[in-house]
Amino acid sequence: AAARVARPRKAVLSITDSAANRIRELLSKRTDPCVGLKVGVRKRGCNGLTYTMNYAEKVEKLDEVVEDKGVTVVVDSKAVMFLTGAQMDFVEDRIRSEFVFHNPNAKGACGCGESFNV
Amino acid sequence: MLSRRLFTSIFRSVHSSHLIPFQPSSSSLLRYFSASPAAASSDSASPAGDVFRLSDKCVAKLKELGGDVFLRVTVDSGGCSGYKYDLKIDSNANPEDIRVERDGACVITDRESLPFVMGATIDYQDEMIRSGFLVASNPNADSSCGCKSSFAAKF
Repeated sequence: AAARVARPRKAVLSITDSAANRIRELLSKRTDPCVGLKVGVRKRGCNGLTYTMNYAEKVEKLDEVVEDKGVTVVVDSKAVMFLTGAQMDFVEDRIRSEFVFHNPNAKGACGCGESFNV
Repeated sequence: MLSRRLFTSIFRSVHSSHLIPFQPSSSSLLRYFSASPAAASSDSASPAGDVFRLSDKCVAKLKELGGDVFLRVTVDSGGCSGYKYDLKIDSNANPEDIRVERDGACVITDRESLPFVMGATIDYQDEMIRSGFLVASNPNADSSCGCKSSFAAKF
């Protein structure tokens, strides 16, 4: 079979500098092998869906891999349609620090921003 | 004839099940009303240590922020469950504020918020997606929102 050359695809989500720094920090603490950070969505919260985050031990079939600013983020196959075009940011102040998703697919979000609906 | 009998029996069961919850809820309402002024009056006499419990992580994080700042906990109306917590780092206290200190860490609340947070535990949660201060358990809250920032009060 002829070798197929993959056309570079647009990444599913973009990662800000502060998010990349935090991901790098999280991955450096990890002792077990992992390929990156895995982002997904789960049915929870008062507004339908919430973002989940975990270490990615391997890339599952149909997962999307985003490699940006030196970090690897694996987007769960079930979350791709909810996260396409989103920007992943990390905000930090003295009282809290958290990952924030600027998601164009979200029609509404909970007051605290933890859950959203599409 | 059969269907009518079935209908009345269903109606009766629905009707009675609708009636039953009324009694405990009214008595529990009474209990809360009689209990809340007692709780509010005892706090001014009791030492401030009973107001909040501060978790070890909360104390450690507050110390990390520096000795002259403290965590201010206030309760506002709003959020998806009726009331919401407002936590912030503050450095000037009012004389009528209630202070809770543990190992050099300090958490403050005001008189208006006190009945809502009496006996609550203030924690610092450190997760991958989010880390921050939160009111971990509150005996005055009936139910709370998933993110623990808002709650429904018991009274």
